[in-house]
Amino acid sequence: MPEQLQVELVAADRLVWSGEATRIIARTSEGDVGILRGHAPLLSVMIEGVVEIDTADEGSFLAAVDAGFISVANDRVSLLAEHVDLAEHIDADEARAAVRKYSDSDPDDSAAQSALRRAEARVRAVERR
Amino acid sequence: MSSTMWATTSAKPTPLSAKASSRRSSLYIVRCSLRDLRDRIDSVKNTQKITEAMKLVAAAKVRRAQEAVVSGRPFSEALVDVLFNINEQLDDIDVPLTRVRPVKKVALVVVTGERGLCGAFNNNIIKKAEERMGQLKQLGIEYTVVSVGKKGNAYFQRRPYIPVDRFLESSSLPTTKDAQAIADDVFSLFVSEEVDKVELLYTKFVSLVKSDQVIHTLLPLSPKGEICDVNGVCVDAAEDELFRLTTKEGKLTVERDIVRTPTTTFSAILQFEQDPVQILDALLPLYLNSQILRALQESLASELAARMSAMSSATDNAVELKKTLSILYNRQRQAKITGEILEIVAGADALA
Repeated sequence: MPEQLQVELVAADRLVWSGEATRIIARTSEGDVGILRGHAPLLSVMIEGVVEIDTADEGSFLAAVDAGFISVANDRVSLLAEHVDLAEHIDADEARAAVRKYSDSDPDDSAAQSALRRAEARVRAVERR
Repeated sequence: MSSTMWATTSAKPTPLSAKASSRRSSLYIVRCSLRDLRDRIDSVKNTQKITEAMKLVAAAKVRRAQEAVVSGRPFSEALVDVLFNINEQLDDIDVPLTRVRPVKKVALVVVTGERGLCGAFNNNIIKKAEERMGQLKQLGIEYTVVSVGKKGNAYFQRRPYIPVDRFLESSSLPTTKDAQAIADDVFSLFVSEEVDKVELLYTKFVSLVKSDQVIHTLLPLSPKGEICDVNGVCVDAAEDELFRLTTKEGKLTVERDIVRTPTTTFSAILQFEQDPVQILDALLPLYLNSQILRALQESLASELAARMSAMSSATDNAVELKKTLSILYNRQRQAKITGEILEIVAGADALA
Protein backbone atom coordinates (compact mmCIF):
# COMPACT_ATOMS: atom_id res chain seq x y z
CA MET A 1 0.00 0.00 0.00
CA PRO A 2 1.36 3.40 -0.89
CA GLU A 3 2.47 5.68 1.94
CA GLN A 4 0.01 8.38 1.09
CA LEU A 5 -3.08 8.97 -0.96
CA GLN A 6 -2.63 9.06 -4.74
CA VAL A 7 -4.74 11.99 -5.81
CA GLU A 8 -6.02 13.20 -9.17
CA LEU A 9 -7.80 16.53 -9.39
CA VAL A 10 -9.38 16.54 -12.83
CA ALA A 11 -11.27 19.20 -14.74
CA ALA A 12 -13.20 18.55 -17.95
CA ASP A 13 -10.43 19.90 -20.15
CA ARG A 14 -7.30 18.98 -18.22
CA LEU A 15 -5.71 17.22 -15.31
CA VAL A 16 -5.28 20.08 -12.87
CA TRP A 17 -3.13 18.40 -10.25
CA SER A 18 -1.97 14.95 -9.42
CA GLY A 19 0.32 13.75 -6.73
CA GLU A 20 0.52 12.39 -3.23
CA ALA A 21 -1.36 13.81 -0.31
CA THR A 22 -1.97 13.05 3.33
CA ARG A 23 -5.43 14.47 3.64
CA ILE A 24 -8.23 15.68 1.38
CA ILE A 25 -11.24 17.67 2.44
CA ALA A 26 -14.11 18.10 0.02
CA ARG A 27 -17.70 19.17 0.20
CA THR A 28 -20.35 16.71 -0.89
CA SER A 29 -24.07 17.02 -1.01
CA GLU A 30 -24.18 15.36 2.41
CA GLY A 31 -21.64 17.69 3.95
CA ASP A 32 -17.88 17.92 4.22
CA VAL A 33 -15.86 14.76 3.96
CA GLY A 34 -12.28 14.22 5.00
CA ILE A 35 -10.22 11.49 3.40
CA LEU A 36 -7.19 9.99 5.11
CA ARG A 37 -5.13 6.99 4.24
CA GLY A 38 -7.10 3.80 4.54
CA HIS A 39 -10.48 5.38 3.92
CA ALA A 40 -13.26 2.99 2.92
CA PRO A 41 -14.16 2.94 -0.76
CA LEU A 42 -16.47 5.80 -1.47
CA LEU A 43 -18.29 7.47 -4.30
CA SER A 44 -19.96 10.75 -3.57
CA VAL A 45 -21.43 13.65 -5.44
CA MET A 46 -19.36 16.77 -4.88
CA ILE A 47 -21.03 20.15 -4.88
CA GLU A 48 -19.57 23.57 -5.66
CA GLY A 49 -17.08 24.34 -2.97
CA VAL A 50 -13.51 24.44 -1.86
CA VAL A 51 -11.30 21.38 -1.87
CA GLU A 52 -8.38 21.31 0.52
CA ILE A 53 -5.43 19.09 -0.26
CA ASP A 54 -2.65 18.59 2.29
CA THR A 55 0.51 17.27 0.75
CA ALA A 56 3.70 16.16 2.44
CA ASP A 57 6.15 18.05 0.22
CA GLU A 58 4.26 20.97 -1.26
CA GLY A 59 2.27 22.09 1.76
CA SER A 60 -1.47 22.38 1.52
CA PHE A 61 -3.41 24.18 -1.12
CA LEU A 62 -6.97 24.96 -1.98
CA ALA A 63 -8.98 24.66 -5.17
CA ALA A 64 -12.43 25.92 -6.06
CA VAL A 65 -14.46 23.27 -7.82
CA ASP A 66 -17.67 23.04 -9.73
CA ALA A 67 -20.12 20.24 -9.06
CA GLY A 68 -18.74 16.81 -9.79
CA PHE A 69 -17.84 13.73 -7.86
CA ILE A 70 -15.19 12.27 -5.60
CA SER A 71 -14.24 8.63 -5.63
CA VAL A 72 -11.96 6.88 -3.16
CA ALA A 73 -10.68 3.35 -3.49
CA ASN A 74 -7.47 1.66 -2.36
CA ASP A 75 -5.94 4.99 -1.33
CA ARG A 76 -6.57 6.42 -4.79
CA VAL A 77 -8.70 9.54 -4.81
CA SER A 78 -10.23 11.06 -7.92
CA LEU A 79 -11.89 14.44 -7.74
CA LEU A 80 -13.73 15.32 -10.88
CA ALA A 81 -15.48 18.54 -11.76
CA GLU A 82 -16.29 20.51 -14.90
CA HIS A 83 -14.25 23.46 -13.70
CA VAL A 84 -11.42 23.52 -11.23
CA ASP A 85 -9.53 26.63 -10.23
CA LEU A 86 -6.45 26.47 -8.06
CA ALA A 87 -6.68 29.13 -5.37
CA GLU A 88 -3.35 30.65 -6.34
CA HIS A 89 -4.65 31.31 -9.84
CA ILE A 90 -7.87 33.01 -8.78
CA ASP A 91 -8.13 36.77 -9.03
CA ALA A 92 -9.90 37.93 -5.85
CA ASP A 93 -11.49 41.02 -7.39
CA GLU A 94 -12.72 39.13 -10.40
CA ALA A 95 -14.24 36.48 -8.16
CA ARG A 96 -16.00 39.01 -5.99
CA ALA A 97 -17.33 40.82 -9.03
CA ALA A 98 -18.74 37.55 -10.28
CA VAL A 99 -20.52 36.99 -6.97
CA ARG A 100 -22.06 40.44 -7.14
CA LYS A 101 -23.10 39.81 -10.70
CA TYR A 102 -24.93 36.57 -9.97
CA SER A 103 -26.37 37.39 -6.58
CA ASP A 104 -29.27 39.27 -8.11
CA SER A 105 -30.30 36.44 -10.33
CA ASP A 106 -33.60 34.65 -10.24
CA PRO A 107 -33.59 31.78 -7.68
CA ASP A 108 -35.26 29.56 -10.28
CA ASP A 109 -32.55 30.10 -12.83
CA SER A 110 -30.47 27.02 -12.12
CA ALA A 111 -27.63 27.98 -14.45
CA ALA A 112 -27.22 31.35 -12.74
CA GLN A 113 -27.55 29.77 -9.33
CA SER A 114 -24.79 27.27 -9.99
CA ALA A 115 -22.65 30.07 -11.46
CA LEU A 116 -23.28 31.97 -8.21
CA ARG A 117 -22.30 29.00 -6.06
CA ARG A 118 -19.19 28.54 -8.14
CA ALA A 119 -18.27 32.20 -7.81
CA GLU A 120 -18.79 32.01 -4.05
CA ALA A 121 -16.56 28.96 -3.89
CA ARG A 122 -13.83 30.85 -5.73
CA VAL A 123 -14.09 33.76 -3.33
CA ARG A 124 -13.88 31.42 -0.35
CA ALA A 125 -10.86 29.68 -1.84
CA VAL A 126 -9.03 32.91 -2.42
CA GLU A 127 -9.88 34.30 1.01
CA ARG A 128 -8.78 31.25 2.90
CA ARG A 129 -5.54 30.99 0.99
CA MET B 1 4.07 49.04 -83.40
CA SER B 2 3.62 49.55 -79.75
CA SER B 3 3.04 47.45 -76.73
CA THR B 4 0.03 49.12 -75.26
CA MET B 5 -2.92 47.12 -74.17
CA TRP B 6 -4.97 47.57 -77.26
CA ALA B 7 -2.37 46.94 -79.95
CA THR B 8 -2.89 44.13 -82.38
CA THR B 9 0.58 43.21 -83.41
CA SER B 10 1.29 39.60 -82.67
CA ALA B 11 0.55 37.25 -85.47
CA LYS B 12 -0.36 34.32 -83.27
CA PRO B 13 -2.50 34.95 -80.24
CA THR B 14 -1.08 33.43 -77.09
CA PRO B 15 -3.48 31.38 -74.93
CA LEU B 16 -3.99 34.21 -72.46
CA SER B 17 -4.79 36.79 -75.07
CA ALA B 18 -7.11 34.39 -76.81
CA LYS B 19 -9.18 34.34 -73.66
CA ALA B 20 -8.94 38.07 -73.28
CA SER B 21 -10.08 38.58 -76.81
CA SER B 22 -13.18 36.47 -76.39
CA ARG B 23 -14.00 38.56 -73.35
CA ARG B 24 -13.49 41.96 -74.87
CA SER B 25 -14.34 41.82 -78.56
CA SER B 26 -14.23 39.45 -81.49
CA LEU B 27 -12.56 42.04 -83.69
CA TYR B 28 -9.42 42.69 -81.74
CA ILE B 29 -6.70 40.28 -80.89
CA VAL B 30 -5.90 41.80 -77.56
CA ARG B 31 -2.66 41.23 -75.77
CA CYS B 32 -1.96 41.83 -72.13
CA SER B 33 0.86 44.27 -71.67
CA LEU B 34 4.09 43.44 -69.96
CA ARG B 35 3.10 45.51 -67.00
CA ASP B 36 -0.23 43.68 -66.64
CA LEU B 37 1.54 40.36 -66.75
CA ARG B 38 4.04 41.51 -64.19
CA ASP B 39 1.24 42.68 -61.91
CA ARG B 40 -0.49 39.37 -62.26
CA ILE B 41 2.68 37.48 -61.44
CA ASP B 42 3.14 39.59 -58.31
CA SER B 43 -0.42 39.02 -57.28
CA VAL B 44 -0.07 35.27 -57.69
CA LYS B 45 3.15 35.39 -55.67
CA ASN B 46 1.34 37.12 -52.83
CA THR B 47 -1.51 34.65 -52.96
CA GLN B 48 1.02 31.87 -52.74
CA LYS B 49 2.55 33.41 -49.63
CA ILE B 50 -0.84 33.66 -48.01
CA THR B 51 -1.88 30.11 -48.77
CA GLU B 52 1.47 28.80 -47.57
CA ALA B 53 1.09 30.73 -44.32
CA MET B 54 -2.44 29.46 -43.83
CA LYS B 55 -1.22 25.92 -44.26
CA LEU B 56 1.45 26.37 -41.60
CA VAL B 57 -0.98 27.99 -39.21
CA ALA B 58 -3.40 25.13 -39.68
CA ALA B 59 -0.59 22.63 -39.06
CA ALA B 60 0.32 24.34 -35.78
CA LYS B 61 -3.30 24.39 -34.71
CA VAL B 62 -3.75 20.69 -35.41
CA ARG B 63 -1.11 20.03 -32.80
CA ARG B 64 -2.91 22.20 -30.30
CA ALA B 65 -6.17 20.45 -31.10
CA GLN B 66 -4.53 17.13 -30.48
CA GLU B 67 -3.09 18.30 -27.17
CA ALA B 68 -6.54 19.39 -26.12
CA VAL B 69 -7.87 15.90 -26.82
CA VAL B 70 -5.07 14.34 -24.81
CA SER B 71 -5.70 16.73 -21.90
CA GLY B 72 -9.33 15.76 -21.85
CA ARG B 73 -8.62 12.08 -21.44
CA PRO B 74 -8.21 11.90 -17.65
CA PHE B 75 -11.73 13.26 -17.28
CA SER B 76 -13.37 10.77 -19.62
CA GLU B 77 -11.32 7.90 -18.28
CA ALA B 78 -12.21 8.62 -14.67
CA LEU B 79 -15.89 8.99 -15.59
CA VAL B 80 -15.96 5.75 -17.54
CA ASP B 81 -14.22 4.01 -14.62
CA VAL B 82 -16.90 5.11 -12.22
CA LEU B 83 -19.80 4.39 -14.57
CA PHE B 84 -18.40 0.94 -15.12
CA ASN B 85 -18.16 0.44 -11.40
CA ILE B 86 -21.71 1.56 -10.80
CA ASN B 87 -22.97 -0.76 -13.48
CA GLU B 88 -21.19 -3.68 -11.90
CA GLN B 89 -23.15 -3.13 -8.75
CA LEU B 90 -26.57 -2.20 -10.03
CA ASP B 91 -28.71 -3.91 -12.58
CA ASP B 92 -31.63 -1.70 -13.33
CA ILE B 93 -30.86 1.92 -13.62
CA ASP B 94 -33.59 4.25 -14.63
CA VAL B 95 -32.38 7.78 -15.05
CA PRO B 96 -33.98 10.35 -17.37
CA LEU B 97 -30.95 10.52 -19.63
CA THR B 98 -30.91 6.79 -20.28
CA ARG B 99 -34.59 6.29 -20.96
CA VAL B 100 -35.29 4.62 -24.27
CA ARG B 101 -38.56 5.77 -25.84
CA PRO B 102 -40.27 5.05 -29.15
CA VAL B 103 -38.79 7.59 -31.49
CA LYS B 104 -41.13 10.19 -32.93
CA LYS B 105 -38.75 13.10 -33.20
CA VAL B 106 -34.98 13.32 -33.43
CA ALA B 107 -32.65 16.22 -32.72
CA LEU B 108 -29.66 16.37 -35.07
CA VAL B 109 -26.64 18.22 -33.76
CA VAL B 110 -24.60 19.18 -36.83
CA VAL B 111 -21.02 20.28 -36.22
CA THR B 112 -19.52 22.50 -38.90
CA GLY B 113 -16.63 24.92 -38.94
CA GLU B 114 -16.41 28.60 -38.32
CA ARG B 115 -14.48 29.48 -41.46
CA GLY B 116 -14.14 28.35 -45.05
CA LEU B 117 -11.08 27.62 -47.17
CA CYS B 118 -11.06 24.06 -45.92
CA GLY B 119 -11.95 22.12 -49.03
CA ALA B 120 -15.00 19.94 -48.83
CA PHE B 121 -15.05 19.74 -45.03
CA ASN B 122 -18.20 21.74 -44.36
CA ASN B 123 -20.01 20.48 -47.44
CA ASN B 124 -19.42 16.87 -46.52
CA ILE B 125 -20.91 17.06 -43.07
CA ILE B 126 -23.87 19.10 -44.32
CA LYS B 127 -24.46 16.53 -47.04
CA LYS B 128 -24.44 13.82 -44.40
CA ALA B 129 -26.98 15.80 -42.42
CA GLU B 130 -29.23 16.18 -45.46
CA GLU B 131 -28.91 12.45 -46.09
CA ARG B 132 -29.94 11.68 -42.53
CA MET B 133 -32.86 14.07 -42.73
CA GLY B 134 -34.00 12.31 -45.89
CA GLN B 135 -33.76 8.92 -44.16
CA LEU B 136 -35.76 10.14 -41.18
CA LYS B 137 -38.38 11.67 -43.39
CA GLN B 138 -38.81 8.36 -45.18
CA LEU B 139 -39.29 6.60 -41.85
CA GLY B 140 -41.89 9.18 -40.94
CA ILE B 141 -39.79 10.56 -38.10
CA GLU B 142 -39.72 14.27 -37.47
CA TYR B 143 -36.48 16.08 -36.83
CA THR B 144 -35.03 19.35 -35.67
CA VAL B 145 -31.52 20.64 -36.12
CA VAL B 146 -29.11 22.13 -33.62
CA SER B 147 -26.54 23.79 -35.80
CA VAL B 148 -23.06 24.34 -34.40
CA GLY B 149 -20.64 26.46 -36.40
CA LYS B 150 -20.97 29.55 -38.57
CA LYS B 151 -20.86 27.64 -41.83
CA GLY B 152 -23.69 25.34 -40.86
CA ASN B 153 -25.62 28.26 -39.45
CA ALA B 154 -25.37 30.13 -42.74
CA TYR B 155 -26.52 27.05 -44.64
CA PHE B 156 -29.55 26.42 -42.46
CA GLN B 157 -30.46 30.07 -42.24
CA ARG B 158 -30.71 30.18 -46.00
CA ARG B 159 -33.15 27.27 -45.88
CA PRO B 160 -36.01 28.21 -43.56
CA TYR B 161 -37.92 25.06 -44.51
CA ILE B 162 -35.53 23.03 -42.33
CA PRO B 163 -36.63 23.17 -38.68
CA VAL B 164 -33.79 24.43 -36.55
CA ASP B 165 -33.90 24.51 -32.80
CA ARG B 166 -30.82 26.62 -32.17
CA PHE B 167 -27.88 28.19 -33.87
CA LEU B 168 -24.67 27.97 -31.88
CA GLU B 169 -21.17 29.13 -32.55
CA SER B 170 -17.97 27.65 -31.33
CA SER B 171 -14.69 29.29 -30.39
CA SER B 172 -11.43 28.63 -32.19
CA LEU B 173 -10.50 25.92 -29.69
CA PRO B 174 -13.52 24.10 -28.29
CA THR B 175 -14.02 24.71 -24.58
CA THR B 176 -16.22 23.13 -21.97
CA LYS B 177 -18.38 26.23 -22.24
CA ASP B 178 -19.13 25.44 -25.89
CA ALA B 179 -19.88 21.83 -25.03
CA GLN B 180 -22.04 22.97 -22.15
CA ALA B 181 -24.17 25.21 -24.36
CA ILE B 182 -24.90 22.32 -26.70
CA ALA B 183 -25.42 19.91 -23.81
CA ASP B 184 -27.88 22.22 -22.10
CA ASP B 185 -29.97 22.58 -25.24
CA VAL B 186 -29.94 18.91 -26.03
CA PHE B 187 -30.58 17.93 -22.40
CA SER B 188 -33.70 20.04 -22.15
CA LEU B 189 -35.00 18.85 -25.53
CA PHE B 190 -34.61 15.24 -24.48
CA VAL B 191 -35.78 15.45 -20.89
CA SER B 192 -38.83 17.52 -21.77
CA GLU B 193 -39.66 14.73 -24.24
CA GLU B 194 -39.76 17.18 -27.09
CA VAL B 195 -37.38 14.82 -28.86
CA ASP B 196 -36.88 11.12 -28.23
CA LYS B 197 -33.39 10.78 -29.57
CA VAL B 198 -30.40 13.04 -30.10
CA GLU B 199 -27.86 12.29 -32.78
CA LEU B 200 -24.51 13.98 -33.09
CA LEU B 201 -23.17 14.49 -36.64
CA TYR B 202 -19.51 15.40 -36.76
CA THR B 203 -16.34 14.68 -38.67
CA LYS B 204 -14.05 12.13 -37.18
CA PHE B 205 -10.35 12.70 -37.68
CA VAL B 206 -8.92 9.63 -39.37
CA SER B 207 -5.76 10.92 -40.97
CA LEU B 208 -4.36 14.10 -42.41
CA VAL B 209 -5.97 13.32 -45.75
CA LYS B 210 -9.02 11.39 -44.69
CA SER B 211 -11.94 12.12 -42.41
CA ASP B 212 -15.17 10.30 -41.76
CA GLN B 213 -18.53 11.90 -41.30
CA VAL B 214 -20.13 9.98 -38.45
CA ILE B 215 -23.46 9.96 -36.70
CA HIS B 216 -23.36 9.05 -33.03
CA THR B 217 -26.34 8.54 -30.83
CA LEU B 218 -25.83 11.01 -28.04
CA LEU B 219 -29.06 10.49 -26.13
CA PRO B 220 -30.41 8.29 -24.67
CA LEU B 221 -27.11 7.46 -23.01
CA SER B 222 -26.34 3.89 -22.39
CA PRO B 223 -25.79 3.45 -18.65
CA LYS B 224 -22.46 1.79 -19.24
CA GLY B 225 -21.29 4.73 -21.25
CA GLU B 226 -21.26 2.94 -24.58
CA ILE B 227 -20.98 4.98 -27.72
CA CYS B 228 -23.43 3.90 -30.37
CA ASP B 229 -23.91 4.95 -33.93
CA VAL B 230 -27.27 5.10 -35.62
CA ASN B 231 -27.15 1.54 -36.83
CA GLY B 232 -27.04 0.35 -33.27
CA VAL B 233 -23.40 -0.59 -33.54
CA CYS B 234 -22.01 0.13 -30.14
CA VAL B 235 -18.51 0.47 -28.96
CA ASP B 236 -17.87 -0.10 -25.33
CA ALA B 237 -16.58 3.13 -23.90
CA ALA B 238 -13.75 1.08 -22.48
CA GLU B 239 -12.61 0.37 -26.03
CA ASP B 240 -13.10 3.86 -27.35
CA GLU B 241 -10.20 5.26 -29.30
CA LEU B 242 -8.68 8.69 -29.26
CA PHE B 243 -6.54 10.02 -32.06
CA ARG B 244 -2.94 11.02 -31.61
CA LEU B 245 -0.56 12.77 -33.97
CA THR B 246 2.83 11.17 -34.17
CA THR B 247 5.61 10.88 -36.66
CA LYS B 248 6.35 7.66 -38.43
CA GLU B 249 9.47 7.54 -40.59
CA GLY B 250 9.64 11.29 -40.51
CA LYS B 251 6.10 11.79 -41.80
CA LEU B 252 3.23 13.15 -39.78
CA THR B 253 0.62 10.45 -39.20
CA VAL B 254 -2.41 9.89 -37.03
CA GLU B 255 -2.72 6.92 -34.73
CA ARG B 256 -5.61 6.01 -32.58
CA ASP B 257 -5.05 4.88 -29.02
CA ILE B 258 -7.45 2.95 -26.92
CA VAL B 259 -8.74 4.68 -23.82
CA ARG B 260 -7.41 3.04 -20.69
CA THR B 261 -9.63 0.09 -19.88
CA PRO B 262 -10.88 -0.05 -16.29
CA THR B 263 -9.00 -2.88 -14.65
CA THR B 264 -11.09 -5.31 -12.73
CA THR B 265 -8.28 -6.00 -10.30
CA PHE B 266 -8.62 -2.57 -8.79
CA SER B 267 -12.38 -2.35 -8.80
CA ALA B 268 -13.43 -2.05 -5.21
CA ILE B 269 -17.07 -2.00 -4.30
CA LEU B 270 -17.63 1.68 -3.95
CA GLN B 271 -20.02 2.74 -1.25
CA PHE B 272 -22.44 5.27 -2.55
CA GLU B 273 -22.94 8.15 -0.25
CA GLN B 274 -26.01 9.22 -2.14
CA ASP B 275 -28.73 7.30 -3.85
CA PRO B 276 -27.37 5.70 -7.05
CA VAL B 277 -29.94 7.56 -9.09
CA GLN B 278 -28.78 10.86 -7.63
CA ILE B 279 -25.20 9.95 -8.41
CA LEU B 280 -26.02 9.06 -11.99
CA ASP B 281 -28.04 12.23 -12.33
CA ALA B 282 -24.87 14.09 -11.45
CA LEU B 283 -22.47 11.96 -13.48
CA LEU B 284 -24.29 11.41 -16.76
CA PRO B 285 -24.49 15.10 -17.66
CA LEU B 286 -20.73 15.29 -17.12
CA TYR B 287 -20.37 12.32 -19.44
CA LEU B 288 -22.64 13.96 -21.98
CA ASN B 289 -20.51 17.10 -21.90
CA SER B 290 -17.30 15.19 -22.39
CA GLN B 291 -18.75 13.32 -25.37
CA ILE B 292 -19.79 16.56 -27.00
CA LEU B 293 -16.44 18.17 -26.27
CA ARG B 294 -14.64 15.23 -27.86
CA ALA B 295 -16.80 15.52 -30.97
CA LEU B 296 -16.04 19.23 -31.22
CA GLN B 297 -12.32 18.59 -30.85
CA GLU B 298 -12.28 15.84 -33.46
CA SER B 299 -14.28 18.01 -35.81
CA LEU B 300 -11.86 20.87 -35.37
CA ALA B 301 -8.91 18.61 -36.06
CA SER B 302 -10.57 17.37 -39.26
CA GLU B 303 -11.29 20.93 -40.32
CA LEU B 304 -7.67 21.94 -39.77
CA ALA B 305 -6.40 18.93 -41.70
CA ALA B 306 -8.76 19.76 -44.56
CA ARG B 307 -7.54 23.34 -44.52
CA MET B 308 -3.91 22.21 -44.57
CA SER B 309 -4.62 20.06 -47.61
CA ALA B 310 -6.67 22.72 -49.40
CA MET B 311 -4.09 25.41 -48.81
CA SER B 312 -1.34 23.07 -49.91
CA SER B 313 -3.14 22.47 -53.23
CA ALA B 314 -3.73 26.19 -53.58
CA THR B 315 -0.05 26.84 -53.07
CA ASP B 316 0.86 24.24 -55.66
CA ASN B 317 -1.60 25.77 -58.11
CA ALA B 318 -0.14 29.21 -57.49
CA VAL B 319 3.34 27.88 -58.26
CA GLU B 320 2.08 26.38 -61.53
CA LEU B 321 0.28 29.55 -62.50
CA LYS B 322 3.32 31.66 -61.74
CA LYS B 323 5.41 29.42 -63.97
CA THR B 324 2.94 29.71 -66.85
CA LEU B 325 2.68 33.45 -66.48
CA SER B 326 6.45 33.87 -66.27
CA ILE B 327 6.93 31.98 -69.50
CA LEU B 328 4.30 34.16 -71.15
CA TYR B 329 5.96 37.28 -69.78
CA ASN B 330 9.35 36.31 -71.08
CA ARG B 331 7.99 35.45 -74.51
CA GLN B 332 6.31 38.81 -74.75
CA ARG B 333 9.36 40.62 -73.51
CA GLN B 334 11.50 38.91 -76.13
CA ALA B 335 8.96 39.62 -78.86
CA LYS B 336 8.99 43.27 -77.88
CA ILE B 337 12.76 43.45 -78.03
CA THR B 338 12.79 41.69 -81.40
CA GLY B 339 10.22 44.14 -82.67
CA GLU B 340 12.31 47.09 -81.59
CA ILE B 341 15.42 45.66 -83.20
CA LEU B 342 13.48 45.15 -86.45
CA GLU B 343 12.34 48.77 -86.33
CA ILE B 344 15.86 49.99 -85.91
CA VAL B 345 17.15 47.77 -88.70
CA ALA B 346 14.34 48.81 -91.02
CA GLY B 347 14.96 52.43 -90.22
CA ALA B 348 18.69 52.04 -90.82
CA ASP B 349 17.92 50.30 -94.09
CA ALA B 350 15.63 53.10 -95.22
CA LEU B 351 18.33 55.68 -94.54
CA ALA B 352 21.09 53.74 -96.17
